[in-house]
Amino acid sequence: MSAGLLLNAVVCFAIVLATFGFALSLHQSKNTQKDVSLPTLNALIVFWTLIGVFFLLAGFRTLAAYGEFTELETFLFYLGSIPFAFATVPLVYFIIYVIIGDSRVSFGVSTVFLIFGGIYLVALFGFGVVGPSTGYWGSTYEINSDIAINVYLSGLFIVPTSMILGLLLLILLQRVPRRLQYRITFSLVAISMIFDFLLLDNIAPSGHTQMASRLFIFIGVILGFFVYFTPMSFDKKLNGIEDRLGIAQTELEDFENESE
Amino acid sequence: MDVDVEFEKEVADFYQSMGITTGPGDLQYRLILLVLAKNGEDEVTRFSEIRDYTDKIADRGSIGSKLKTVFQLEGLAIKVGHGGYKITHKGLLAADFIMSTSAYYKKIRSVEHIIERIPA
Repeated sequence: MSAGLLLNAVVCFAIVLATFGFALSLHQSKNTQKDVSLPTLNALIVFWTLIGVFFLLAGFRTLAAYGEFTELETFLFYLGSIPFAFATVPLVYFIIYVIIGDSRVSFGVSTVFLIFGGIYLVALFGFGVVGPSTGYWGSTYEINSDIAINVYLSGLFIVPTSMILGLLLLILLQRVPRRLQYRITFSLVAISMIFDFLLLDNIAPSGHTQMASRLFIFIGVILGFFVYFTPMSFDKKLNGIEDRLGIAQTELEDFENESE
Repeated sequence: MDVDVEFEKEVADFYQSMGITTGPGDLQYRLILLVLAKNGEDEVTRFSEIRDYTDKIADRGSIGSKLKTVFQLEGLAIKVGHGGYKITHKGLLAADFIMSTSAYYKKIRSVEHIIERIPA
């Protein structure tokens, strides 16, 4: 029993609050979105919800580790692997839909990642895990299957991360309004950051690494939230509120009294 | 090479919205040039063929006037016989430029579509 584990659980619940709040805010903003961006908005809501569910289970798992309920902890680890394995699916749908704009193609590609997630879970449940190994800051498991790790690394991690980087590059190379460029870039950076540290969290060799990765995930969620719901004072500094709302006016000179 | 009047109108409107009202922003100019370029330097383009594309957007008089005051005067096309026109090398260069403005428009539209699909 250590205070570090409790702090770890608190960070998990903070992530849960932030992700659920973010997903709810995105859901409430549905009425103000264009029809073409609704599929991507739904994908983002599902993505953030899955992250929230994963950390809800991770938080309870850390509390179980604190209370030394090993069986419950292992059960929660297995349960948490389900949202973890399928977090890629809405993310891939989001990226493919943004680039191609075809819902059927996006659905098809994300189904491939659904299958990858399924293979990962079958390998994980089939071969099991070694642990838990509980330290001061966290409790970790060693995945007892190279297949599961390889499937996750190659199929569920490298490909979506490359897709995010590709989309990021595509946006950065275009001449788009600065405000929009910031929003899209930071949003993708936040998703990428969470995705990377989510992997690190799950395969963390020690409690320190797990705690550090969870802190970075929390920062990533906050970054993602502020990208979409920027405080007005900061927004004004960034690009001028008039520009953002499209109400900037150009003063026209009066030519009436000028000689021709 | 096929000439799509609706698409050309869309492209011309795009350039007009940027204040470019002649050349890329002039639908009549675009259509005449593209029809002439379709037939190439060796073939004669009949005025009636040009009108097949332009009748939906302009009357016969203004197309004839455009051919005379812009295309013939600037050496983009030469008149051959009665009601026939042949594009010149200079005209083909202008057609290439017009086609590159279509490609630029497509590129801009595709980026705009990508941005539209990202939730704001």
